[in-house]
Amino acid sequence: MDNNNNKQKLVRYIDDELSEAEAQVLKNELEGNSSLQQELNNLLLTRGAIKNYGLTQKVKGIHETMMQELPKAQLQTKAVVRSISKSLISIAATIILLVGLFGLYEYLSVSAGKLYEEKYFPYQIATMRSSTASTVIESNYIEKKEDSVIAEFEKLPQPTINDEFLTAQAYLQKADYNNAIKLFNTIIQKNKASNATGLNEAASYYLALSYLSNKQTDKALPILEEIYNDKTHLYHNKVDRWYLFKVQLLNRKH
Amino acid sequence: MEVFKNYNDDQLLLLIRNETNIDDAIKYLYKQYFTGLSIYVQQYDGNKQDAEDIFQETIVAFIELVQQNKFRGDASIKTLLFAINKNTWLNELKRRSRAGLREEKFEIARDNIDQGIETYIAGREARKKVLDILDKTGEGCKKILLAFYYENLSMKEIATMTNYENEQVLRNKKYKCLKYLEQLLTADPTLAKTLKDALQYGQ
Repeated sequence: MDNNNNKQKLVRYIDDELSEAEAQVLKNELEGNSSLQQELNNLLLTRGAIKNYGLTQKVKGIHETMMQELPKAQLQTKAVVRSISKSLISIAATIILLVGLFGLYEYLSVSAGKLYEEKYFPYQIATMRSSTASTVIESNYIEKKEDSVIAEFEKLPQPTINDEFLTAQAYLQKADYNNAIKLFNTIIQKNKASNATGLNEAASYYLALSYLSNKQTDKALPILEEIYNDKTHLYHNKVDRWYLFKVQLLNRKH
Repeated sequence: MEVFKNYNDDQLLLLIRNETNIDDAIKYLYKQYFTGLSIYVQQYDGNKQDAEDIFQETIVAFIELVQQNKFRGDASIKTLLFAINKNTWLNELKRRSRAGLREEKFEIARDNIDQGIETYIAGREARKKVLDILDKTGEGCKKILLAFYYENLSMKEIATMTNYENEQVLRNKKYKCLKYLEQLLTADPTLAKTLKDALQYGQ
């Protein structure tokens, strides 16, 4: 077979146009002829490439049609998803903006006076003991005679923790924060020295408020944090996370 | 708007293997998977056009794999399409950026799919080269070869369609066109080897 005949035969072979006998003769020849085998392989590859080309063109044609058809149904879904995403982003941005504005407002408006007012309530002696006063200081305190409480206290050679506590409250009500701080600290120190707890928790709570009012936020903050963290503290419910946050803001301002 | 038919995986595979109504199968694949697959490409550095190009390649690859019985239905059609789409896109990104670090990143991201399928995807460059060569053979050759080998039309039908005097003249023309292409491959053994891997012949 010359080369041209060979190729024609190979083409007829891949086109399935050879008779069974002709195909068998060619197969036998292919077994011992590597260059003929190579030619056949290349023809098969060519045929494969043509099929691939045909399919690619077909898909390309359908693609154009589908790009016209699909957007109506599916790209709408995308648009909805995109629109939802945009809405979510807008909502998130609004929330962040509002939180930011609120934080800024809180930062600008927070003050020692406001924080003190928010948590201060006059100490009620009846809550501690019986409603009947047992000392002059107690009776003056019940009658809201702060000056008399202080005067009586100064006369005492050995005041009790109770006397000191009520006098500190009297100072607090008169906005004499330095003296109130001094007495509340005395109570805490005395308790510590004697391993006692009398009025300790109330003293620490009012000490923190006294520091706040006296613009010593750095000293008020750790006491309030301790109260917040101690769930058994008598005044635990008076200090929440939000209040602490505002004290922290104030501390930064100072 | 055209009403699309729905198929389950088995029906779709049958349609593709039999080549009876391949257009419907392709349209169904578009309807079912185009949005999902194009989102993947667009999420990973691709634009809308990239997504469309990669999807077309994915469909061609999928159909050829099914017709060559390379897909045995071990996974769902959806899983296979997503893997082809992803790996084709990673190959394209790799081609665009040869930086070592990025290549390493692509290798890590690549789905672990059947080696035969992976080889097919990797042969996209060779297939593109052959498509370019086919384009250069001229409209006459292309029309005859496609009609005979892709559309499976008889020489008689093609002769009518192309206005050739008789079948023998047409047969000679077809032979010359095929020979021209075959000689291009003979002259470029590297291309022939890559194309062979890509088209999965002689396996």
